[in-house]
Amino acid sequence: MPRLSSLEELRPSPRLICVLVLVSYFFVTAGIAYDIINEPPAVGGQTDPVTGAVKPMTFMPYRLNGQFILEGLSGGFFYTLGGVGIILLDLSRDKNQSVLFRNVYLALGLAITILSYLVCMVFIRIKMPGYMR
Amino acid sequence: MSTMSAVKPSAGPEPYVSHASLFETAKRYLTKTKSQELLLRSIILIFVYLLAFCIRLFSVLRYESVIHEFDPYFNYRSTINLVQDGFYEFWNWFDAESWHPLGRVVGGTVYPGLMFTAAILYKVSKFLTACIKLRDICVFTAPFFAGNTALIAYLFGKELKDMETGLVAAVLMAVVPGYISRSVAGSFDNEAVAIFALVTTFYLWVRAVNQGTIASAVLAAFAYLYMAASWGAYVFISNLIPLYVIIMFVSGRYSRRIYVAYTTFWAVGSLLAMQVRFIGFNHVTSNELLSFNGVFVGLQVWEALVFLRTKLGTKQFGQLLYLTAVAAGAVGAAGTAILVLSGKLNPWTGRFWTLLDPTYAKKFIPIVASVSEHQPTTWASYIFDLHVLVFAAPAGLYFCFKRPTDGTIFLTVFALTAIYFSGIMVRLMLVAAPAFVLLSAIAISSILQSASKELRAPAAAETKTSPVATRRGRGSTSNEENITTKKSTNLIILGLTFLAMWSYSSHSIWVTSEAYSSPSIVLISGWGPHRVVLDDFREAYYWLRHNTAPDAKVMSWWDYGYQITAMGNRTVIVDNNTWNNTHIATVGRAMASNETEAYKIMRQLDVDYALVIFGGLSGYSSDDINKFLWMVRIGGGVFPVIKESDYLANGDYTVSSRGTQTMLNSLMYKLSYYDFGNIMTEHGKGTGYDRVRNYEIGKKDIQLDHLYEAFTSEHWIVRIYRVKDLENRF
Repeated sequence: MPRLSSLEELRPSPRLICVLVLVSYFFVTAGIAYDIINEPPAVGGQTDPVTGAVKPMTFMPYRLNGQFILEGLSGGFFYTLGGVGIILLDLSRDKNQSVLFRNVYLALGLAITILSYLVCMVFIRIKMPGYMR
Repeated sequence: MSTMSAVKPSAGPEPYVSHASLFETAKRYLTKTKSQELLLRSIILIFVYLLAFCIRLFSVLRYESVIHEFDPYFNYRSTINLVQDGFYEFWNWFDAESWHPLGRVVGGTVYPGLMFTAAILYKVSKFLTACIKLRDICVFTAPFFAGNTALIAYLFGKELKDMETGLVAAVLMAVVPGYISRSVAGSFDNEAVAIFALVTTFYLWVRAVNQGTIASAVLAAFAYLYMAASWGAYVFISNLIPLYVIIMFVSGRYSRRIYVAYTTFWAVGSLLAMQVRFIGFNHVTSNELLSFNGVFVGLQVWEALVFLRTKLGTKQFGQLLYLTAVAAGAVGAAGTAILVLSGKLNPWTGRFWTLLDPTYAKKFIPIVASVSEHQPTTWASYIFDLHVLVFAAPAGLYFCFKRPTDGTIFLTVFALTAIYFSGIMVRLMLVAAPAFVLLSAIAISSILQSASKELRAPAAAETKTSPVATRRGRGSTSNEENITTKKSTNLIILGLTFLAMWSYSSHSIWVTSEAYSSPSIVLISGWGPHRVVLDDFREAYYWLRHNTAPDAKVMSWWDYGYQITAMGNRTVIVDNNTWNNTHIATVGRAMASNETEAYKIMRQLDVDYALVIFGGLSGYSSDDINKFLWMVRIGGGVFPVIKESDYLANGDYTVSSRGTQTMLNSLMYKLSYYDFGNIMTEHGKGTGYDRVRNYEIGKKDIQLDHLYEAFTSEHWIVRIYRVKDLENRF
């Protein structure tokens, strides 16, 4: 149909959709629904028993079903970053790119993936001290 | 020994000789790559099945084969009814033992798929003279179907991409913690078979779209029937598939195959799903299935237009198109308005409204908001339930966008909706788990394939390109090297993938063992010689069973209704089905009022026993005092006499000496803490120290006028009180 062919130009490119999907993935896995419904503070506070000063507490401990806003955002960020790392690893195999880009993608991809995994392990160990014991 | 061993294996296909020995035959088959591959694949799938089954057996091995939680007890009771009384009795069952005095039409308000599955397994095992007890069949249904789900994930991966993806998907699906959490041995709940039905329906749908035949679509419709019979989330399928069709249409990938698949699926699937009594005509009148029916109508209209265009000329067709568009728009709008105004179109139920507007339940339906599984998800649940899949899933989405086929677009739509819903409700992490598994399988399989292809290729490339290189000189050799990445890099990538899978499986096993294998009917803590088992629930329910009149009615909070009916065999007032909010609010009002008011309500409801769960002595934190505010909210939602502010001291919920008089005089407080003020629970603290709330209670000498204590379990977790009869007038 003649009118539909102009839709082809209106259609967004797959690359744009992929970027939007990754952004929404970040927000969902950061627990945005929990933040909207329960409205936790951005960071919690822990009163030091000796001095009485309030130390900021970033991770709500011992509970998997509670979070602070910043904690959620950092978790979601590292999930997405890990995904981006694996994507970079695949981009490094593109034969049409120059050698420099391919090597950069490869190194960056490996570094980001390993970093995200290790950081998430550290986070979960802070949040749940009994993890893997 | 035969004489055919003289034939050389490299000279073309071996002639088939029927008298070859077993050893010769095995050797002949095992040297062929295709047979080796088949053998490897079969071994992997068998191990995957065994792994999926065995990882879910922790609670059975640690304690005993017992049914967990609350809902499975109702399913177990229904299965007993089905097996003992037969199909027609079950189909028309009216249960007078729950929701006294209203009763419950079980035949029309239950999803029978799970009960039928368990009953069929029981009958089959009896026919094969295996004679497994029905309770054990019910306990092991979930691991059995988990193994089946892993195999279907293999088929789905094979349909989406290739066989390697299928194998990775099967392995990941077998141990993904998000699925294990609702399918351990003993968790005899709808999700145990429903997730199998979900993945099967999606696999058969993608297969139907790829093949475009009526037969494959009919098969998909039968899988949809199984899903509709098993779980209320069948509306997810019936909204996702139309959404997929719309997206394919909008992105220009519509084809005749989709038309055939969807039309057949709609026709056969609707008819089959309407056979379930609970669904009935809802399938065509309900708002929840509006898109399902609407897309069907839209597709027919589109195909009719295309057909007409080939028959008429362009000008005539243009006129017809214009007229039809205007007429259709007017009729559609008017029709929808009339149906909505006359109330014919059933509105969306509250549970599904929450998915679109997460704050809806908190504002309007406290019962839906109070269920712990309906709480929104935090970031930590993702890594806990999915581990490395959480990293591989975005990569899988990238691969789906890179090379879109009909199947991968469906997977993308499924994954995006499932991930969004899993962010809203923790329980729906279960539905998102297969989506994560399949996306990660695509990503991991692509990584492994490209790495191993390059590891295998240089050996061939070097022999081919070396004469070329020597001809062209040094520049080209560096060119050839750069096209494939270095061997060490590929080995590193393979090694990292191996480590990731290793950590994934050890995490899954740890999580299953620690977090998801508790038979919540029995509380187990400690290890080895220090193991403490609190079996109070069953102790109390069996006391009820043996020591009360057969027609006694028990009033408790709705959480425990199914267990009381199944194990105590007594009639309850409200149970987990929560279909009647006013009835639950009446019970909530009784629990929240003072004893005299509560006694009037209990006489009205014909209650003989009141049951409360109390954790103050044992430290069990999911007791009724912690749930009390929900009772107040739900009761106050229907009876404005109950005001939540009356029970809060300065906004704090407390039962200590700071608590309000309404709180300290309420029936729930009295029943929980009766005689507790004389007990010393911890060294160095006074009497009546509550070990869950961590303070001493407010009122310690409690007098009960209209009830007396009938039974308290060993660790005071379950307390049962007998409601006294009316006093003699003379």
